Amino acid sequence: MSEAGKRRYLCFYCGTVYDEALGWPDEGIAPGTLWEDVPDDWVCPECAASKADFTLDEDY
Amino acid sequence: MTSAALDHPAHVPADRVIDFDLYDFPVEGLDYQRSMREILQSRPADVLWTPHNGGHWIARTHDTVAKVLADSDHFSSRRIMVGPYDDSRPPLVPLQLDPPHHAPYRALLQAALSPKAVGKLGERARELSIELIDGFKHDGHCEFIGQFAQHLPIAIFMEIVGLPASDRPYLTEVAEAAMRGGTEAERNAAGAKLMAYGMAKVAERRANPGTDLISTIVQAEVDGQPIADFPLTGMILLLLLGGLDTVASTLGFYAQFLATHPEHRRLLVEQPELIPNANEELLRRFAIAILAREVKADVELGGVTLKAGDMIMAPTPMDGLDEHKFADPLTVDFHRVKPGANATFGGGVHRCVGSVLARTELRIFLEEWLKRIPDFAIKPGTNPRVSARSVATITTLELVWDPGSVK
Repeated sequence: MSEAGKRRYLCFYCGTVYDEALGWPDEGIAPGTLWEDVPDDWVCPECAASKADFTLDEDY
Repeated sequence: MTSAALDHPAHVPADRVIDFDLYDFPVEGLDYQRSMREILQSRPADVLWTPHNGGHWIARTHDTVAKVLADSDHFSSRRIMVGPYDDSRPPLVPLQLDPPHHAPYRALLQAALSPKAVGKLGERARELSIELIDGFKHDGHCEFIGQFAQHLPIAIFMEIVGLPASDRPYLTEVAEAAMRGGTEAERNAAGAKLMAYGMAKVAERRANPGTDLISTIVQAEVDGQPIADFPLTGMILLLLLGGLDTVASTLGFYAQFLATHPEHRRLLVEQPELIPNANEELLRRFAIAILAREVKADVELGGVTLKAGDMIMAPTPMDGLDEHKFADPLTVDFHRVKPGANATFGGGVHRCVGSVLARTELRIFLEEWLKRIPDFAIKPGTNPRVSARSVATITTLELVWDPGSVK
Protein backbone atom coordinates (compact mmCIF):
# COMPACT_ATOMS: atom_id res chain seq x y z
CA MET A 1 0.00 0.00 0.00
CA SER A 2 1.41 3.37 -0.97
CA GLU A 3 2.28 5.72 1.86
CA ALA A 4 0.10 8.81 2.36
CA GLY A 5 1.84 11.85 0.95
CA LYS A 6 3.68 9.78 -1.66
CA ARG A 7 0.74 8.38 -3.57
CA ARG A 8 -0.13 8.93 -7.21
CA TYR A 9 -3.59 8.88 -8.72
CA LEU A 10 -4.32 8.30 -12.40
CA CYS A 11 -7.13 9.76 -14.47
CA PHE A 12 -9.15 6.87 -15.88
CA TYR A 13 -9.80 8.73 -19.10
CA CYS A 14 -6.53 10.35 -20.10
CA GLY A 15 -3.90 8.97 -17.76
CA THR A 16 -3.04 12.31 -16.18
CA VAL A 17 -1.21 11.76 -12.90
CA TYR A 18 -1.95 13.55 -9.63
CA ASP A 19 1.17 13.18 -7.49
CA GLU A 20 0.60 14.08 -3.83
CA ALA A 21 4.20 15.21 -3.44
CA LEU A 22 3.81 17.69 -6.30
CA GLY A 23 0.22 18.78 -5.75
CA TRP A 24 -1.09 20.95 -8.57
CA PRO A 25 0.11 24.50 -7.85
CA ASP A 26 -1.36 25.92 -11.09
CA GLU A 27 -4.76 24.95 -9.73
CA GLY A 28 -4.12 26.17 -6.21
CA ILE A 29 -3.29 22.73 -4.78
CA ALA A 30 -0.06 22.95 -2.81
CA PRO A 31 2.71 20.31 -2.97
CA GLY A 32 2.09 17.68 -0.31
CA THR A 33 -1.72 17.89 -0.50
CA LEU A 34 -3.17 14.47 0.25
CA TRP A 35 -5.63 13.08 -2.26
CA GLU A 36 -8.42 13.15 0.32
CA ASP A 37 -7.79 16.87 0.80
CA VAL A 38 -8.07 17.68 -2.90
CA PRO A 39 -11.50 19.36 -3.29
CA ASP A 40 -14.25 17.04 -4.50
CA ASP A 41 -15.08 19.40 -7.35
CA TRP A 42 -11.50 19.41 -8.67
CA VAL A 43 -11.40 18.06 -12.21
CA CYS A 44 -8.62 16.65 -14.36
CA PRO A 45 -6.74 19.61 -15.81
CA GLU A 46 -6.25 17.77 -19.09
CA CYS A 47 -9.65 16.26 -19.84
CA ALA A 48 -12.05 17.55 -17.15
CA ALA A 49 -12.80 14.10 -15.74
CA SER A 50 -14.03 14.28 -12.15
CA LYS A 51 -11.96 13.48 -9.06
CA ALA A 52 -13.97 10.26 -8.74
CA ASP A 53 -12.53 9.15 -12.09
CA PHE A 54 -9.01 9.00 -10.64
CA THR A 55 -7.73 5.75 -9.16
CA LEU A 56 -4.72 5.00 -6.98
CA ASP A 57 -1.64 3.93 -8.94
CA GLU A 58 -0.93 0.68 -7.11
CA ASP A 59 2.29 0.13 -9.02
CA TYR A 60 3.92 3.33 -7.83
CA MET B 1 -41.33 39.42 -27.21
CA THR B 2 -39.79 41.28 -24.29
CA SER B 3 -38.87 39.67 -21.00
CA ALA B 4 -41.52 41.78 -19.26
CA ALA B 5 -44.15 39.96 -21.29
CA LEU B 6 -42.94 36.49 -20.30
CA ASP B 7 -44.70 34.80 -17.39
CA HIS B 8 -42.47 33.48 -14.65
CA PRO B 9 -42.83 32.04 -11.13
CA ALA B 10 -42.57 34.35 -8.13
CA HIS B 11 -39.10 33.16 -7.14
CA VAL B 12 -37.65 34.05 -10.55
CA PRO B 13 -36.44 37.66 -10.74
CA ALA B 14 -37.82 39.40 -13.83
CA ASP B 15 -34.35 40.42 -14.99
CA ARG B 16 -33.37 36.74 -15.32
CA VAL B 17 -36.11 35.89 -17.79
CA ILE B 18 -35.11 35.26 -21.39
CA ASP B 19 -37.14 34.18 -24.41
CA PHE B 20 -35.17 31.06 -25.32
CA ASP B 21 -36.49 27.75 -26.61
CA LEU B 22 -33.61 25.30 -26.74
CA TYR B 23 -35.54 23.15 -29.20
CA ASP B 24 -36.30 26.00 -31.56
CA PHE B 25 -33.90 28.92 -31.69
CA PRO B 26 -32.43 30.55 -34.82
CA VAL B 27 -29.14 28.97 -35.91
CA GLU B 28 -26.96 31.00 -38.24
CA GLY B 29 -25.49 28.73 -40.90
CA LEU B 30 -24.14 25.58 -39.25
CA ASP B 31 -22.81 27.32 -36.15
CA TYR B 32 -25.25 26.01 -33.59
CA GLN B 33 -22.86 26.69 -30.73
CA ARG B 34 -22.13 30.33 -31.65
CA SER B 35 -25.83 31.01 -32.18
CA MET B 36 -26.74 29.64 -28.75
CA ARG B 37 -23.96 31.63 -27.12
CA GLU B 38 -25.04 34.89 -28.75
CA ILE B 39 -28.58 34.52 -27.48
CA LEU B 40 -27.61 33.47 -23.95
CA GLN B 41 -24.92 36.11 -23.67
CA SER B 42 -27.41 38.84 -24.52
CA ARG B 43 -28.10 38.93 -20.76
CA PRO B 44 -25.39 39.64 -18.20
CA ALA B 45 -26.55 37.14 -15.54
CA ASP B 46 -24.85 33.76 -15.06
CA VAL B 47 -28.14 31.94 -14.57
CA LEU B 48 -31.22 32.74 -16.64
CA TRP B 49 -34.79 31.46 -16.75
CA THR B 50 -37.01 30.74 -19.75
CA PRO B 51 -40.74 30.02 -19.76
CA HIS B 52 -40.39 27.60 -22.69
CA ASN B 53 -40.57 23.80 -22.31
CA GLY B 54 -42.29 23.89 -18.97
CA GLY B 55 -40.15 26.76 -17.64
CA HIS B 56 -36.58 26.14 -16.59
CA TRP B 57 -33.33 27.75 -15.51
CA ILE B 58 -30.33 27.97 -17.82
CA ALA B 59 -26.72 27.79 -16.58
CA ARG B 60 -24.88 30.08 -18.96
CA THR B 61 -21.23 30.05 -17.88
CA HIS B 62 -18.41 27.57 -17.33
CA ASP B 63 -18.71 28.00 -13.59
CA THR B 64 -22.45 27.40 -13.34
CA VAL B 65 -22.50 24.53 -15.86
CA ALA B 66 -19.69 22.84 -13.91
CA LYS B 67 -21.47 23.29 -10.58
CA VAL B 68 -24.74 21.87 -11.88
CA LEU B 69 -23.00 18.79 -13.27
CA ALA B 70 -20.74 18.24 -10.25
CA ASP B 71 -23.17 18.83 -7.37
CA SER B 72 -25.35 15.75 -7.33
CA ASP B 73 -26.51 16.60 -3.79
CA HIS B 74 -28.52 19.50 -5.20
CA PHE B 75 -28.93 18.57 -8.85
CA SER B 76 -30.48 15.21 -9.66
CA SER B 77 -30.21 13.51 -13.03
CA ARG B 78 -33.55 11.76 -12.48
CA ARG B 79 -34.83 14.07 -15.22
CA ILE B 80 -32.25 14.83 -17.91
CA MET B 81 -34.38 16.76 -20.36
CA VAL B 82 -36.56 19.79 -19.91
CA GLY B 83 -40.19 19.56 -21.02
CA PRO B 84 -42.73 16.79 -20.35
CA TYR B 85 -41.49 13.86 -18.27
CA ASP B 86 -42.91 10.35 -18.50
CA ASP B 87 -41.90 8.37 -15.43
CA SER B 88 -43.51 5.18 -16.72
CA ARG B 89 -40.59 4.78 -19.12
CA PRO B 90 -37.48 3.00 -17.90
CA PRO B 91 -34.81 5.45 -16.73
CA LEU B 92 -31.64 5.55 -18.80
CA VAL B 93 -29.29 3.62 -16.51
CA PRO B 94 -26.93 4.72 -15.02
CA LEU B 95 -27.45 8.26 -16.34
CA GLN B 96 -30.77 8.82 -14.59
CA LEU B 97 -29.67 7.30 -11.28
CA ASP B 98 -28.15 9.52 -8.61
CA PRO B 99 -25.14 8.46 -6.54
CA PRO B 100 -24.54 5.95 -5.09
CA HIS B 101 -27.08 3.90 -7.09
CA HIS B 102 -25.47 4.71 -10.43
CA ALA B 103 -22.03 3.33 -9.47
CA PRO B 104 -22.31 -0.45 -10.03
CA TYR B 105 -23.98 0.05 -13.41
CA ARG B 106 -21.40 2.62 -14.47
CA ALA B 107 -18.59 0.27 -13.45
CA LEU B 108 -19.91 -2.32 -15.90
CA LEU B 109 -19.76 0.14 -18.79
CA GLN B 110 -16.45 1.62 -17.68
CA ALA B 111 -14.75 -1.77 -17.84
CA ALA B 112 -15.88 -2.27 -21.43
CA LEU B 113 -14.84 1.25 -22.47
CA SER B 114 -11.56 1.54 -20.55
CA PRO B 115 -8.47 2.91 -22.30
CA LYS B 116 -7.10 -0.64 -22.49
CA ALA B 117 -10.27 -1.99 -24.12
CA VAL B 118 -10.48 0.99 -26.44
CA GLY B 119 -6.87 0.55 -27.57
CA LYS B 120 -7.85 -2.58 -29.47
CA LEU B 121 -11.01 -0.98 -30.84
CA GLY B 122 -8.99 1.99 -32.07
CA GLU B 123 -7.04 -0.16 -34.48
CA ARG B 124 -10.29 -1.56 -35.83
CA ALA B 125 -11.63 1.99 -36.17
CA ARG B 126 -8.54 2.93 -38.16
CA GLU B 127 -8.93 -0.01 -40.54
CA LEU B 128 -12.57 0.83 -41.09
CA SER B 129 -11.87 4.54 -41.61
CA ILE B 130 -9.30 3.77 -44.30
CA GLU B 131 -11.65 1.29 -45.95
CA LEU B 132 -14.50 3.82 -46.01
CA ILE B 133 -12.40 6.73 -47.30
CA ASP B 134 -10.66 4.60 -49.93
CA GLY B 135 -14.11 3.50 -51.06
CA PHE B 136 -15.17 6.99 -52.17
CA LYS B 137 -12.05 9.17 -52.39
CA HIS B 138 -11.69 8.77 -56.18
CA ASP B 139 -15.32 9.83 -56.69
CA GLY B 140 -14.49 13.42 -55.75
CA HIS B 141 -17.57 13.69 -53.57
CA CYS B 142 -19.51 12.04 -50.75
CA GLU B 143 -22.46 12.64 -48.49
CA PHE B 144 -20.33 12.75 -45.37
CA ILE B 145 -22.98 11.99 -42.76
CA GLY B 146 -24.36 8.86 -44.40
CA GLN B 147 -21.15 7.58 -45.97
CA PHE B 148 -18.78 8.21 -43.09
CA ALA B 149 -20.08 9.89 -39.90
CA GLN B 150 -22.92 7.46 -39.34
CA HIS B 151 -20.79 4.54 -40.47
CA LEU B 152 -17.50 4.55 -38.56
CA PRO B 153 -18.57 5.04 -34.91
CA ILE B 154 -21.72 3.02 -35.31
CA ALA B 155 -19.92 0.05 -36.85
CA ILE B 156 -17.42 0.07 -33.96
CA PHE B 157 -20.24 0.34 -31.44
CA MET B 158 -22.06 -2.56 -33.12
CA GLU B 159 -18.93 -4.66 -32.63
CA ILE B 160 -18.74 -3.75 -28.93
CA VAL B 161 -22.31 -4.81 -28.30
CA GLY B 162 -22.17 -7.71 -30.75
CA LEU B 163 -24.90 -6.53 -33.11
CA PRO B 164 -24.95 -7.50 -36.80
CA ALA B 165 -23.65 -4.85 -39.21
CA SER B 166 -26.76 -5.43 -41.33
CA ASP B 167 -28.87 -3.78 -38.59
CA ARG B 168 -26.90 -0.51 -38.80
CA PRO B 169 -29.19 1.35 -41.26
CA TYR B 170 -32.31 0.44 -39.26
CA LEU B 171 -30.77 1.42 -35.93
CA THR B 172 -29.34 4.68 -37.29
CA GLU B 173 -32.74 5.72 -38.61
CA VAL B 174 -34.59 4.79 -35.43
CA ALA B 175 -31.99 6.49 -33.19
CA GLU B 176 -32.33 9.67 -35.26
CA ALA B 177 -36.12 9.59 -34.81
CA ALA B 178 -35.75 8.91 -31.07
CA MET B 179 -33.38 11.83 -30.60
CA ARG B 180 -34.77 14.40 -33.00
CA GLY B 181 -38.16 13.24 -34.29
CA GLY B 182 -40.53 16.08 -35.10
CA THR B 183 -43.11 15.27 -32.40
CA GLU B 184 -43.02 13.78 -28.94
CA ALA B 185 -45.17 10.87 -30.18
CA GLU B 186 -42.66 10.20 -32.95
CA ARG B 187 -39.73 10.27 -30.53
CA ASN B 188 -41.50 8.02 -28.05
CA ALA B 189 -42.45 5.53 -30.76
CA ALA B 190 -38.83 5.39 -31.93
CA GLY B 191 -37.61 5.00 -28.34
CA ALA B 192 -40.02 2.09 -27.91
CA LYS B 193 -38.64 0.48 -31.09
CA LEU B 194 -35.10 0.78 -29.77
CA MET B 195 -36.10 -0.72 -26.44
CA ALA B 196 -37.89 -3.59 -28.18
CA TYR B 197 -34.85 -4.22 -30.37
CA GLY B 198 -32.53 -4.09 -27.36
CA MET B 199 -34.61 -6.41 -25.24
CA ALA B 200 -34.85 -8.94 -28.08
CA LYS B 201 -31.05 -8.97 -28.09
CA VAL B 202 -31.05 -9.31 -24.30
CA ALA B 203 -33.22 -12.43 -24.62
CA GLU B 204 -30.85 -13.83 -27.24
CA ARG B 205 -27.76 -13.22 -25.08
CA ARG B 206 -29.40 -14.67 -21.99
CA ALA B 207 -30.00 -17.86 -23.94
CA ASN B 208 -26.67 -17.84 -25.69
CA PRO B 209 -24.15 -15.47 -24.09
CA GLY B 210 -21.09 -14.25 -25.94
CA THR B 211 -18.22 -11.92 -25.08
CA ASP B 212 -19.95 -8.68 -26.13
CA LEU B 213 -21.11 -5.91 -23.81
CA ILE B 214 -24.80 -6.85 -23.88
CA SER B 215 -23.85 -10.39 -22.79
CA THR B 216 -21.70 -8.94 -20.00
CA ILE B 217 -24.59 -6.78 -18.77
CA VAL B 218 -27.21 -9.54 -18.84
CA GLN B 219 -24.92 -11.81 -16.84
CA ALA B 220 -23.88 -9.12 -14.34
CA GLU B 221 -25.12 -8.82 -10.79
CA VAL B 222 -25.81 -5.61 -8.89
CA ASP B 223 -26.19 -5.92 -5.11
CA GLY B 224 -26.00 -9.70 -5.51
CA GLN B 225 -28.93 -9.86 -7.93
CA PRO B 226 -29.17 -10.02 -11.72
CA ILE B 227 -30.22 -6.70 -13.21
CA ALA B 228 -34.03 -6.59 -13.45
CA ASP B 229 -35.66 -6.09 -16.84
CA PHE B 230 -36.86 -2.51 -16.11
CA PRO B 231 -33.42 -0.99 -15.40
CA LEU B 232 -31.86 -3.32 -17.94
CA THR B 233 -34.12 -1.92 -20.67
CA GLY B 234 -33.03 1.61 -19.77
CA MET B 235 -29.40 0.58 -19.74
CA ILE B 236 -29.59 -0.95 -23.20
CA LEU B 237 -31.49 2.08 -24.52
CA LEU B 238 -28.83 4.43 -23.17
CA LEU B 239 -26.11 2.34 -24.80
CA LEU B 240 -27.92 2.44 -28.14
CA LEU B 241 -28.58 6.18 -28.03
CA GLY B 242 -25.07 7.03 -26.83
CA GLY B 243 -23.35 4.68 -29.22
CA LEU B 244 -25.43 5.45 -32.28
CA ASP B 245 -25.69 9.20 -32.21
CA THR B 246 -23.11 11.32 -30.45
CA VAL B 247 -19.83 10.64 -32.25
CA ALA B 248 -21.63 10.65 -35.60
CA SER B 249 -23.06 14.09 -34.76
CA THR B 250 -19.69 15.45 -33.65
CA LEU B 251 -18.01 14.22 -36.83
CA GLY B 252 -20.46 16.32 -38.85
CA PHE B 253 -19.39 19.49 -37.03
CA TYR B 254 -15.70 18.60 -37.47
CA ALA B 255 -16.13 18.05 -41.21
CA GLN B 256 -18.12 21.24 -41.82
CA PHE B 257 -15.46 23.25 -39.98
CA LEU B 258 -12.55 21.75 -41.88
CA ALA B 259 -14.42 22.02 -45.20
CA THR B 260 -14.75 25.76 -44.68
CA HIS B 261 -11.33 26.49 -43.11
CA PRO B 262 -8.53 25.59 -45.56
CA GLU B 263 -5.82 27.14 -43.39
CA HIS B 264 -6.75 24.82 -40.50
CA ARG B 265 -6.78 21.81 -42.81
CA ARG B 266 -3.38 22.73 -44.17
CA LEU B 267 -1.92 23.07 -40.71
CA LEU B 268 -2.97 19.55 -39.77
CA VAL B 269 -1.80 18.10 -43.09
CA GLU B 270 1.61 19.72 -42.68
CA GLN B 271 1.89 19.13 -38.92
CA PRO B 272 -0.04 15.96 -38.06
CA GLU B 273 1.56 16.00 -34.62
CA LEU B 274 -0.95 18.78 -33.83
CA ILE B 275 -3.90 16.44 -34.35
CA PRO B 276 -4.33 15.27 -30.72
CA ASN B 277 -4.59 18.87 -29.50
CA ALA B 278 -6.68 19.86 -32.51
CA ASN B 279 -9.08 17.08 -31.59
CA GLU B 280 -9.51 18.53 -28.10
CA GLU B 281 -9.89 22.03 -29.52
CA LEU B 282 -12.61 20.95 -31.94
CA LEU B 283 -14.39 19.09 -29.14
CA ARG B 284 -14.29 22.28 -27.07
CA ARG B 285 -15.55 24.48 -29.89
CA PHE B 286 -18.28 22.15 -31.15
CA ALA B 287 -19.97 20.64 -28.10
CA ILE B 288 -23.31 19.15 -29.09
CA ALA B 289 -25.13 18.13 -25.90
CA ILE B 290 -27.65 20.02 -23.82
CA LEU B 291 -27.84 18.41 -20.40
CA ALA B 292 -30.46 19.10 -17.75
CA ARG B 293 -30.91 18.38 -14.06
CA GLU B 294 -33.75 18.59 -11.54
CA VAL B 295 -33.12 20.73 -8.45
CA LYS B 296 -33.34 18.39 -5.44
CA ALA B 297 -33.18 20.98 -2.69
CA ASP B 298 -33.28 24.78 -2.68
CA VAL B 299 -29.88 26.09 -3.69
CA GLU B 300 -28.19 29.37 -4.57
CA LEU B 301 -26.58 29.52 -7.98
CA GLY B 302 -25.39 32.53 -9.92
CA GLY B 303 -27.04 34.95 -7.50
CA VAL B 304 -30.55 33.42 -7.54
CA THR B 305 -32.35 30.80 -5.47
CA LEU B 306 -33.38 27.70 -7.35
CA LYS B 307 -36.29 25.84 -5.73
CA ALA B 308 -36.59 22.09 -5.27
CA GLY B 309 -38.41 20.66 -8.29
CA ASP B 310 -37.17 23.35 -10.70
CA MET B 311 -35.40 22.17 -13.84
CA ILE B 312 -32.08 23.62 -14.97
CA MET B 313 -30.44 23.24 -18.34
CA ALA B 314 -26.65 22.87 -18.53
CA PRO B 315 -25.65 23.47 -22.15
CA THR B 316 -22.20 21.95 -22.67
CA PRO B 317 -21.29 24.48 -25.42
CA MET B 318 -21.47 27.28 -22.86
CA ASP B 319 -18.55 25.78 -20.93
CA GLY B 320 -16.14 25.57 -23.85
CA LEU B 321 -17.27 28.96 -25.19
CA ASP B 322 -16.89 30.88 -21.92
CA GLU B 323 -14.31 33.61 -22.48
CA HIS B 324 -13.42 33.56 -18.77
CA LYS B 325 -12.15 30.01 -19.19
CA PHE B 326 -10.91 30.03 -22.79
CA ALA B 327 -9.62 33.27 -24.31
CA ASP B 328 -11.17 34.17 -27.67
CA PRO B 329 -13.35 31.07 -27.41
CA LEU B 330 -15.03 31.21 -30.82
CA THR B 331 -11.66 31.01 -32.57
CA VAL B 332 -10.38 27.52 -33.31
CA ASP B 333 -6.70 27.48 -32.33
CA PHE B 334 -4.94 24.15 -32.69
CA HIS B 335 -2.11 25.46 -30.49
CA ARG B 336 -4.43 26.36 -27.59
CA VAL B 337 -3.13 25.21 -24.21
CA LYS B 338 -5.25 22.52 -22.52
CA PRO B 339 -8.40 22.83 -24.61
CA GLY B 340 -9.48 19.41 -23.35
CA ALA B 341 -10.49 20.65 -19.91
CA ASN B 342 -14.05 21.31 -21.04
CA ALA B 343 -17.54 19.95 -20.35
CA THR B 344 -18.17 18.59 -23.84
CA PHE B 345 -18.40 15.10 -22.31
CA GLY B 346 -20.41 16.38 -19.36
CA GLY B 347 -19.05 16.37 -15.84
CA GLY B 348 -19.38 14.94 -12.37
CA VAL B 349 -20.37 11.34 -11.75
CA HIS B 350 -22.20 11.02 -15.06
CA ARG B 351 -19.40 12.23 -17.29
CA CYS B 352 -19.58 10.35 -20.63
CA VAL B 353 -18.30 6.84 -20.05
CA GLY B 354 -17.56 6.45 -23.75
CA SER B 355 -15.31 9.49 -24.02
CA VAL B 356 -12.08 7.52 -24.52
CA LEU B 357 -13.58 5.72 -27.50
CA ALA B 358 -15.16 8.91 -28.84
CA ARG B 359 -11.87 10.80 -28.68
CA THR B 360 -10.07 7.91 -30.36
CA GLU B 361 -12.54 7.71 -33.24
CA LEU B 362 -12.52 11.46 -33.80
CA ARG B 363 -8.72 11.58 -33.80
CA ILE B 364 -8.52 8.70 -36.25
CA PHE B 365 -10.94 10.52 -38.55
CA LEU B 366 -8.65 13.56 -38.58
CA GLU B 367 -5.54 11.46 -39.16
CA GLU B 368 -6.83 9.20 -41.90
CA TRP B 369 -9.12 11.62 -43.73
CA LEU B 370 -6.58 14.44 -44.07
CA LYS B 371 -3.88 12.02 -45.25
CA ARG B 372 -6.10 10.97 -48.13
CA ILE B 373 -8.37 13.96 -48.85
CA PRO B 374 -6.38 17.01 -47.78
CA ASP B 375 -8.62 19.52 -49.58
CA PHE B 376 -12.39 19.47 -49.65
CA ALA B 377 -15.33 21.84 -49.53
CA ILE B 378 -19.07 21.86 -48.99
CA LYS B 379 -20.76 21.21 -52.33
CA PRO B 380 -21.89 24.56 -53.79
CA GLY B 381 -25.63 24.95 -53.96
CA THR B 382 -26.33 22.56 -51.12
CA ASN B 383 -27.88 23.84 -47.96
CA PRO B 384 -26.81 21.70 -44.99
CA ARG B 385 -28.64 22.44 -41.78
CA VAL B 386 -28.48 21.69 -38.09
CA SER B 387 -31.17 19.65 -36.40
CA ALA B 388 -31.17 19.79 -32.62
CA ARG B 389 -32.99 18.71 -29.55
CA SER B 390 -30.88 17.61 -26.61
CA VAL B 391 -28.12 16.66 -29.06
CA ALA B 392 -27.34 18.74 -32.14
CA THR B 393 -26.45 17.17 -35.45
CA ILE B 394 -25.93 18.10 -39.10
CA THR B 395 -28.40 16.02 -41.06
CA THR B 396 -26.68 15.89 -44.45
CA LEU B 397 -23.33 17.27 -45.60
CA GLU B 398 -22.37 16.99 -49.26
CA LEU B 399 -18.60 17.35 -49.67
CA VAL B 400 -16.63 17.73 -52.89
CA TRP B 401 -12.93 17.60 -53.78
CA ASP B 402 -10.67 17.23 -56.77
CA PRO B 403 -10.20 13.48 -57.34
CA GLY B 404 -6.73 14.30 -58.65
CA SER B 405 -5.69 15.67 -55.25
CA VAL B 406 -6.39 12.52 -53.24
CA LYS B 407 -3.62 10.35 -51.88
